[in-house]
Amino acid sequence: MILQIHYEYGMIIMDFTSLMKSYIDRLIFPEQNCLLCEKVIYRTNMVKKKQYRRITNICQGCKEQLEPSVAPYCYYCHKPMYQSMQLQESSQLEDGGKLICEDCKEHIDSEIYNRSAVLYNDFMKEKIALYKYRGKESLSNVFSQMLVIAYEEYFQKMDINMLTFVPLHSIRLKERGFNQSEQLARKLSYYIGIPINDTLERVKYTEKQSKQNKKERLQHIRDSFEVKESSLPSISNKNMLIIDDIYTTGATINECSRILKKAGANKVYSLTLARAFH
Amino acid sequence: MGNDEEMKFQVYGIEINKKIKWMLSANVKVDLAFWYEKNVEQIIIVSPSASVGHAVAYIQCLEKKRTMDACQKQVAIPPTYTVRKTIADFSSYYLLYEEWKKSFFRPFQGKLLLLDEILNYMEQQHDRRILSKEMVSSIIQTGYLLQEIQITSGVTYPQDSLVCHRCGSTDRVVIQDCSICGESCATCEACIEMGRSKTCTPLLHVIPNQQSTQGISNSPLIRTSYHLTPFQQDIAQAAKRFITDKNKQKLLIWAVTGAGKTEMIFPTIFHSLELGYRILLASPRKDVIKELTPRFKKAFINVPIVSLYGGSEEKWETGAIYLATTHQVMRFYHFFDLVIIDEMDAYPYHNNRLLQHAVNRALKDDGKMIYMTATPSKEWMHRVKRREIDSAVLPIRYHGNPIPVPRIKIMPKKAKLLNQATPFFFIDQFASKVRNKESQAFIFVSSIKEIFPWVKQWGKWFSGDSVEGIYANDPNRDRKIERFRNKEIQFLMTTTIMERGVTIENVHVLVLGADARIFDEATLVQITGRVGRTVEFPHGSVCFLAERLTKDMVKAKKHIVRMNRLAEKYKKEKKQ
Repeated sequence: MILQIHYEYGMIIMDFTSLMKSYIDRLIFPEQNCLLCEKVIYRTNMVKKKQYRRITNICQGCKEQLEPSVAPYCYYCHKPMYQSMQLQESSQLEDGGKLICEDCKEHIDSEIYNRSAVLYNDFMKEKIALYKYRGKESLSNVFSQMLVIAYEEYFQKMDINMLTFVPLHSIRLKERGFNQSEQLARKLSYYIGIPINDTLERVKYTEKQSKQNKKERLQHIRDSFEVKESSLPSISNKNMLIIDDIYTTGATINECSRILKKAGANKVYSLTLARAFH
Repeated sequence: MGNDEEMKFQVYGIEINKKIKWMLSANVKVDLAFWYEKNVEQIIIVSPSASVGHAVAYIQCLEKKRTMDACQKQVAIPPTYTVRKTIADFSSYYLLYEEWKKSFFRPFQGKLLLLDEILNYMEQQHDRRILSKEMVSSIIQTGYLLQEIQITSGVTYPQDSLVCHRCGSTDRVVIQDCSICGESCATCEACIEMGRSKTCTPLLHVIPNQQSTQGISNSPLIRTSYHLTPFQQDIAQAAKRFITDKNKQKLLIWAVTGAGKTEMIFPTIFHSLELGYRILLASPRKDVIKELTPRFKKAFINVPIVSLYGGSEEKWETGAIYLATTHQVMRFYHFFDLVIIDEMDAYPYHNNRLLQHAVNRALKDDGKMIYMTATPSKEWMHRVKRREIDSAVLPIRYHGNPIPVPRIKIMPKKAKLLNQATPFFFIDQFASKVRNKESQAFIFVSSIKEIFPWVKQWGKWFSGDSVEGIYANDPNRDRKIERFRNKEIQFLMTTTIMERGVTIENVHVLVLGADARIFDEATLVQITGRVGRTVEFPHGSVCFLAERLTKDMVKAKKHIVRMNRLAEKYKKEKKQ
């Protein structure tokens, strides 16, 4: 037999006056719960970081916890650099005032140009886990708004023709039910009006990167992407922007941009939601 | 199988006594074998493999005696019609199922679980390779055919009204594209912390045994002795009478703070255990559950006790007494004979329809419910007055002394106080009193933001004192409470998290800014109830400092005065 669960609708129907009162309250003062922390939002716009004032659906307390990666950062990978700045003031400045971190100096051939919306602090770690692994997909509304703010700050003046995203392997996709990068990219594309193209395909199944170190990541990720044949003509000589959720060592982004450039893309940038910084 | 592949379901019909019966199938081979034993010659499969929500919606439509065409249109299932002959050999499936039942029936019974939860637990216990998709589906299908497992979907199919079957939420169910089933299906975001409940995830209910306490250790109940005052015994008797009365279903025990509610309920629990009942004690607060567990283990020797809260390690244990936070109760379905709700007026259970629904659902249809509180809400008071619900009132503390009556004082503006070099007169008076008596004090403030300015200011005013601040998400919360218990901290600045469930002897209370909205009547009464809870120190001082007088403050004071007067009356009656 099929389980039939009955609901006590009597519980929902309160007495008439309180029902009317709550109804009118809702009409005039609609109550909203913060998507990130589930609490009722009282005010949102007293945040010191002005750029976050326009994000809807989250409360002030959560907005305060968002940390953008501010001024001294690596020109290539957006790594925050204020600690190393103090140690060696001028030696980092190369290439006409560009600040470059140690990692990017080693792989100078890689030509990453990455920007991230926020830093991957403990707060974001918890929320991204809630989004990715628990599957609370409505969080994509908040995260995509954060991406829009970052896009306007870093990429508005650049000539970007097309968005694309880091794909998931089909097994992982079946397990998770959605591709977080795709979801974020589609919402971003909706807000900024740049077409999105599903260009990449994951051909090698890799273990979860969050359990690997840098060397392993670089080894495992090699040759795990391919450009879809159907989208080959559309990417030639285009400036592309790859969207992903977390930038840790840059292994994934690096591999994706290598493949895309091989297939004929002109310039490849990347925009990620969170930047790990330890 | 793991989470990689989704379990698909088919719908088929069989003819029994010239009536068509519609069934759900995860694995048609098992059905063919099962119905052969029942002398049914053929089954008619009427749907392709679909997600569980889809199939359940289809069956529900067919059972309403709608035509097959109409139903196919309604739930968008392509017309299918296959007749298959039944085959022998049900015994192999049955043996497999029995073997599975031996090791997994007990942890799963009585619970409403997502298939993923079941598979994850089985994977933990066994090697992953053993669990092929074929095997899992045949086990579940056998259980379904033997009517020992019920199947439904996590969330209803998007064409009906959207309800999450696990938590009962309607407004936080979201329809979105899903790569698992390849259709657009609904996900419930209200209970997502407990695993993703979707239209395409099966939700299973393993029906518990008839006899509740079967399988529990056979050693006899040991009645540990505990002392009850005559007043407490009255209430205990009333509760016991309620248990044996078949016509009554709900009882409210209204006892003042520090009356010893938990001890009062022990005789009732003993009695129910003897009747073979399965008992749940639910409380909205995790701290309460953690505090009660050792007390219960001391009182009920030989009785298996399971304590469930977020992060508890006893999630899959079985027992006769369950202590659980109201969130954890969501996993149980028609399982308990007696449910006791402690602190029923506390956040988050109070005014939360989903949790109330969950607790009601954990109870069997003929089960009994006991509510316990020190501060029933207005609504419940009305119910008591109208005699809709039985109640037992105990206005007297177990040591017989009255509850300290709060003093209400007006203070200057908080901002002004925080810049003042010398302490405000009443704060100074209170602090010196606490110091002279060598006792400790809770200082309640209205929000987390206010804690640190006040801690700082307190340090400026009284530089010798040890002051600490504590709040809900404090990483050192448990350690600070422990230090306060060990008297290493004299003044603990806190939000309302310490309002209930805490017993510390020789403590005084000061509320700074009692006019804040968060301090309503019930909260203030509970806060007052922290004082004078032990026999050695039955008295103490309570002071509400506020910028202006609020109704709730006056009401709280009146409440306490009234209860004290009632207590006097009771005492006199008892003497005569």
